[in-house]
Order: sequence, then structure tokens, then C-alpha cells
Amino acid sequence: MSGIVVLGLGNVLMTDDGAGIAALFELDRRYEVPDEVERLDGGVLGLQLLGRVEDAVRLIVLDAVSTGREPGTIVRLGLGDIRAVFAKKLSMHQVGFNEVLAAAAIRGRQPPEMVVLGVEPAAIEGGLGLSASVAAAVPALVAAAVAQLADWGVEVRERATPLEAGPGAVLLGA
Amino acid sequence: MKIAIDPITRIEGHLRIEVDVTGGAVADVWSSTPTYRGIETILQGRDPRDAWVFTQRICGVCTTVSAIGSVRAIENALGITIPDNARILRNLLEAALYTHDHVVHFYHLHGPDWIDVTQALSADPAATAALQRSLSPWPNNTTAYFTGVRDKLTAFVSSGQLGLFGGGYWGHPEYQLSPEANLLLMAHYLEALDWQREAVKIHAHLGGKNPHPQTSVVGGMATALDPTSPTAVNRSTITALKGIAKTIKDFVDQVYVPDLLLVARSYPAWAGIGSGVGNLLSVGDFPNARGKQLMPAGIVRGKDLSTVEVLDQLKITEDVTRAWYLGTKPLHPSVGVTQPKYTGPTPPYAFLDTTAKYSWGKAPRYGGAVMEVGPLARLMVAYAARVPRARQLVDGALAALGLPVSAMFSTTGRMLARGLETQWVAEQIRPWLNALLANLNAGKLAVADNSKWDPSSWPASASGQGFSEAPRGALGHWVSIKNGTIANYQIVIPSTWNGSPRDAAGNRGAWEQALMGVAVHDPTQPLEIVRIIHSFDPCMACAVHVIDADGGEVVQVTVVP
Repeated sequence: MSGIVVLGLGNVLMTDDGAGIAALFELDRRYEVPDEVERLDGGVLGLQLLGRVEDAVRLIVLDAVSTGREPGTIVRLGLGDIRAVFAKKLSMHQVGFNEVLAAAAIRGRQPPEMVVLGVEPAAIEGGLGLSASVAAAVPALVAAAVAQLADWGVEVRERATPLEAGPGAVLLGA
Repeated sequence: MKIAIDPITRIEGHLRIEVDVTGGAVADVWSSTPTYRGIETILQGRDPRDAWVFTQRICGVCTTVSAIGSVRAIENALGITIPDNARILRNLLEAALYTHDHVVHFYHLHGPDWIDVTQALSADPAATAALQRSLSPWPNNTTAYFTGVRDKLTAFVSSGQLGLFGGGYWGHPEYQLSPEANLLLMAHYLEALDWQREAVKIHAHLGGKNPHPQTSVVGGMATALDPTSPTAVNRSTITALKGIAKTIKDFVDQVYVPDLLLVARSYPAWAGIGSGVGNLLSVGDFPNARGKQLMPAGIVRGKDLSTVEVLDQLKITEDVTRAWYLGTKPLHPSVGVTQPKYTGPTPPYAFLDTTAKYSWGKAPRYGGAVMEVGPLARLMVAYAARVPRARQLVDGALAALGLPVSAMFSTTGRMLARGLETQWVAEQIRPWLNALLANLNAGKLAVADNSKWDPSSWPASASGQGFSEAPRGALGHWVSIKNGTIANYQIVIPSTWNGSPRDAAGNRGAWEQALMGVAVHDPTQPLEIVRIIHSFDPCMACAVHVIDADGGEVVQVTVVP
């Protein structure tokens, strides 16, 4: 096990919140990723992801990230940029990824290397499929993940012909 | 002064509580579900054998039970009796869900309402070790252990960059635990993170995965039992599961329940706060081989524990007077309709118009009466029905705390009920595994009755209902099948009961009633309200996940003077 994990996060039923999942699908569709790189659809799981995060040595998180920039902007966050906060919550469903990071950190088990590659959402509301500006940014998000894998010495080759559109197609409006 | 507590800042989501605070106490309250789901509409016209796959997605926490409720409804409609192994497997999956879910709720969700991490940093590790030894035989009880935990917490808090616990109400005068109790509970908070990883493996063994186990099927279960197959559930699987069962039970007996009593003892006033409606409804669950439920169905009214009313599901209706649906009169779910018509304000808004319709949640009623569902309802219906184990558990805990049984109708009572039923269920896992093993050894390997799998064996029309007790309370599914497809489907989930808006008669829902009159020390930090709502363990709809780069507040508290 290389310990390299690409983790997509988000709710595909909430428009741009599904950007990370769309990118995860596109990564496999457009590139040949070696099997030792684990690709994981984390959906909207919270603490259930703790084990996978703690077991990772190098972790790429693909997600919609809200920093107030223009929709479609690619955002790169290092570990120190994300304030892992045990925020106030009313429901179990709000135990989110910030909590997973905080729990891993307090236990001294954060992945040694981690990067969040995100895209600034335009709209997050009930509905299937990304908004146009975010869908257009997905290839750049995938390219950022590929570049990060290359930095880690993983050879990722672009497919001469992308695979047929899979479940991610509906998110990209294809 | 009006306060809105909304859990999501970027969208209007999940659960929203609006409270009118006058003279330092809650004068009125409105509970709203601002998200429409529409699962029932999605199901119309589909194959009823597929329904559980959709209904399970109602919730990412209570996954199993929403599948089981569905297959039970279809089995009831088609007259299918499931094999004994399927009964046991369903009980085991539900038991794993209860224990995992309740422990995680206590430490990771409700705990921060009572535990002040900043106080834990000044605890004396030796005194904390002594406190641990006075509570239970749990082995992590040395000065060195608690010194290590305190140092870890101190290092983490002082590192600053992670802004640990930045969203809490730390320093609020309502936090009353000693530094040592805070340190002990924080240590268990961290231990529970490892424990929950182990506990959930029962679902991996019997359901293929977690969340959303994949082994439900109309007619039974799709979990293969075969003593000669290495890939089916065999003797060594059951041995492994017994190991997990012991891990679960030890933590519940020696950590969770003692910690719960420690918190209850430290906050005596909360045994009298948030008492609520006092009407309890349980549909019962965990059937034995003769069909008798471990936790019985029934109704308790007006906090009267001397008697239990027999549950008649025909008395359940849903009222949409104050919910964003078309419809005029309360309907039984078997003939219920879900026709959305939003008339609320356009988001983003500061406040709902609470004089009109104000929620996507309908208002379920039992014979017109507001009911509370959940662990308190299950345990106290069993208590009133004189189920011996329920009596032992409740009377034992109350004796330890010096409280009367009437104190169960409170915030503390709901927390106690959740922990005590966890203990009750956790101790059943091993006997159920033994029953499964006995069947395996006797060559009774059937897990499903497939005799009515083929739709050609079904009547032209059929209807049925299925019930299960989710960790958060009574769950009901009603289905009608015509010519092999779903003609109508209605689901009443636990938080529809507890979080209901007002009905035609103006009766407040269970959460609304529990919050009435509660003193609020500081309306900008409504810790008291959050404590009471958490004691019900709300099960609101699908989560939205966006990383908030500056770790901003998740609960938006808007105060209008």
C-alpha cells in the first residue's frame, strides 16, 4: 500500500456541492491512475471517514470549497489553512470533514501530507448537476490532482481516448 | 426578543428552531424542517422490491432501520413470513446501529453541551484517575494515562492553528463539571473514536458495508449463511462478531453508562427541565422467535406510567395545516398524500412567518394527540408494560441518582433512556449470535422466503405497513401496490413526530412543547435550547458538505431585540 488516497467529498444531489465527486469520476475517465492510489467517494460521510483519513500517508481531498472567491476558482488548501473546528451542531449529519480532521489531529494521526483541492461553488441547492462555471472548472481541478500525484512521484498518464462517460456525466451536464 | 437557530449558514437546511425569549425565558417556539425530500414521490410507480434501497437513503445515520421498515411493509402487504435467520440478522444489524449511534451521539454530539474542554486542561490527573476508579473497572485509570490525555489536549489547544473547539459555548456559566470530570469525559470522547470504528464492523460482516448495508431483501435477508463456505457467514464469522459484541458491551457498561450517570449527577437541575408533552409512542422492535418484541409497542399518556395503551396504527394521522403541502384534513398514512406547495419566505431570510405554514415536516398525531418518540418512549413504554429488564435498568439508574421515576420526563431522562437502552440492546447481541450459531449448526440456513418474489404471484392490489424503531424513535412505512408497482407510499419518520409543527388545533409539536418556558441565560448563546433539542437526537435530512475555510459558525444565531 502506497498510502496515497484521493478522497472526493460532497453531496451530488446538491448541485455544486457534488464538484469533488464529479472530479473523482473525471480523474479515472481521463487518466490511467495506478491501482496503488486509492480513489474513495466519501460522499457526505463524517466520522466514518476517520479511519481512512488516519490511515492515509498522502491525502488529496477533492471538494467544493467556499472561500468567497469567484465561482469556478480552483482553491488549494494545505493542512494549516483549514481550521479544523468542532463546531456547534444540532444533528449528527453535521459532523463533517472539519471534525474528522480535528479528531485525527488531536489523536496525533493526521496524514503526514495532505492537500485540499477545491472549486469555489456558484450555487448549492437541491438538484442534480453542476452549474456551468463549476462544471467548466472540473478539468482544471482534475489536472491539479494529477499534478499533485506527479509531485508525489506517481505516474499518471492521460488516456489517449477518455473512457466512455460514466456516472459523473450527469453531474457535468454531458 | 426572537432567536433563530439554524444549523447551516450557506443554505437554509435541516432543522430550524425559532424561539421567542421574553423575560429571560422561552415564551413561544416554532420547529421547522426547511428542506423538502420527496422520497415518497420518487417511489411511486417503482417496483416495491426496490423501495428499501431508496428509503434507506432517507438518512445517512439511521440507515438500516429505514430499509427494514420498507421490506417489512412489502412483506406485510404480500403476506410473507421471513425465516428465523432473517429475523436474527435484522435484530443484529439494528443492535449494531443503536449501540454505535447512541455512543457517538453522547460523546461527539451531545457531550460538548455538558463538557467544557477548556476546564479539562486544569484537571489533576491523579484525582481524575481516582474518579475513574470510583466509577467502573475500566482499565484506563492511571495517573500516567490521564496526564497523557491532558498533555495532548493542552498541546492541541495551544497550537492555535486548528482553532480547536472554536465554535463551542466554552466558559458559559451553565458548564458545571469539575476539571477532573471534564478531563475524564474528554479522554472517553477520544477513546470512543476508536471504539466506533470497531463497533461498526458488525455492519460490514452482515450488511456488506456501512452506512447503508446492502443485504436487505423483501422476504428476508441476502446475507448468506453457510458453515462450509469461507465467503458466507460461517462459524468463524460468528466468533469474530462475538469479539466485537464484547468490545461494544464492555465500553457501554464500563464507560458510557457510568459517564452518563456522572453527567446526570453533576447537572441535577436538568432532571426537571425540558419535560415535554409526556405522551410517549413506541411501535416496538427486536422480535424474538415467537414474534414477541424485546421492546414492546404501546402508548403512555400524560406521564402516567401505571398503564400502557395498546398501539392502534389506524389512529395515526398526519396534519398539514402548518406544513408546506396541499391538503385540508388529517389523513391516515395509508391514504396520505404528499403534494408540496411552498409558501414560505424566499431564502435567505431572517425569520419564517410563523403565523402561517412554516415547515416541510407534517404534523403526525395519534388520535389527535401529540406524541414523543425515541429512546425515552421505548424504555418508558416498556417500563409501564412492566418489562422486567426495563424496570431494573430504570429503577437502578434512578436509585443511583436519587431521583423519582417522574424525573425521566426531562432532558436528563432522555439522555438516561438512550444510555440504558444501549445497555439493554448491547447485552442481546451475544444471545442473538448464539441463536444464529444454533441454526447454523442445525443446518437451518434459510435467510429468505422467495416464494413470492415473482410479481406474477402477487394479487392485483395489496397494501401493508411496516414498523421499526429507529435509534431516534418510531418509524412507519405504508405501501399500496397495484399491478406490481407502488401506487402510494408514505413514511413517518421519528423526527416528523418530534419536530412537528403545530396542527389544526394549534397544538405544539414535541420539541416545541419541551422548549416552552425554559430559562435562557444568554440569548446569543442559547446553550439551554441546544441541550434540550440534542436530548431528542434530531434526525434531519441529508447533509450538505462544504468545507468552510475559516471554520465559521455552523449554527447561525440571529438575535433580534
